[in-house]
Amino acid sequence: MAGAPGERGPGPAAGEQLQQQHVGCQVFPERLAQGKPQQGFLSSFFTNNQKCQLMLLQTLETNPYVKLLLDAMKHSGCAVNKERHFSCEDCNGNVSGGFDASVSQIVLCQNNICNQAHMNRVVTHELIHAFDHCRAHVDWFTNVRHLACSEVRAANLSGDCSLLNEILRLHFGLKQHHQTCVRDRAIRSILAVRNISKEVAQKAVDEVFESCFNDHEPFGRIPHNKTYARYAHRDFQNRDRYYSNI
Amino acid sequence: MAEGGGWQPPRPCEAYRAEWELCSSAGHFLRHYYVHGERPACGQWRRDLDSCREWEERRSAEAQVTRPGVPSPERPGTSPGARDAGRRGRALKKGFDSSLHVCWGACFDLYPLKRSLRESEQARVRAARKHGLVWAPRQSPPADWHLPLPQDNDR
Repeated sequence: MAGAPGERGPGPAAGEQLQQQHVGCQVFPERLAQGKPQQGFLSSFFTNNQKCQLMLLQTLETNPYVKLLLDAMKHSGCAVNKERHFSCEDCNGNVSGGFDASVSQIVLCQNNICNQAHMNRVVTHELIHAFDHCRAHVDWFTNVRHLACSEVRAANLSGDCSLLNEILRLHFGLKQHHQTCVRDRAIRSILAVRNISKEVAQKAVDEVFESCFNDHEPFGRIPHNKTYARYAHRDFQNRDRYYSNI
Repeated sequence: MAEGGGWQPPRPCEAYRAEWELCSSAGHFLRHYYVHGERPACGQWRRDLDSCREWEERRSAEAQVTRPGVPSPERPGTSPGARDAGRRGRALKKGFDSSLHVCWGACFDLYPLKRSLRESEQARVRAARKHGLVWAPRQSPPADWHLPLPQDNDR
């Protein structure tokens, strides 16, 4: 959404690129272009905005990544209100969502989020930005290192770079490939929202990578799947006992 | 930190078991290699699980021995030796000074387990915090977090 004109003014501080991350949205572009209905119940009877709202509600109520993030933000004084802190909108380009730090709101691109799994991941990604905004003085607009750090964390902890997702993108690699993916996606996200060169973005990511890749808050670990996320949520709920007994 | 009789393992033993099983799984091996390029180390979770279970067993046994006003339970066919153990248990009770949080006898067996678990978890916390932060932490949430959106104010 970098540079997109419209209601929002300066635009999101942090964003997420689509980048062929969900093959389902890309497989039948001709069908979409011709206005043929997509497969699935929701597509037949609901507008993009309604679908977005329904999927968002499902994510907020059931996804373990998101439930932990919401609890952690509430604990930090940033209780999340669905109507206030989320907005389903049409977006230009191939962006899935963004976090607008100027108004503390998460933007969900209703025309680019194609299924529930994608919604889960986009919400997780943007909530990590919101969590960083809540717990730290992040200079989103003038400090590219701060932006790079949050993008590294979001790519690392949201499931963006899971082995399965990378295989679906036809990016094959195993040993430490996760880190390659995180670097690459962080750079892409920075370039989506900032008018800077790829070299500047890459340099920022390199400078902050070791610190930010190893900052796993609030999960305490890299949540590779929902099981890890549930364990992380269990640990978060147990934190009083934990810190009082170590 | 909870002292004396109030201390308990930082995690329930079930959590240590779940972490050890997850760590030992083939799926975790693959994911850990995918992220870090090396095999995971799961031995500490197993040691912590063993310590936690042993702590619970000994704590439970000590609680039975030192329960005030309740004689040690006697099972049918108990030998005189068991009755002697009951008398020793009551002697242990006398050795517990709750005002000083001092105990002796069975209580000392718990200390190495407590120390092992605390040191293990402290090492995990240190490992998580060893990298410096890029940004300064906030002391309070952003001022506008709960404020209405600007367009809502214009209505």
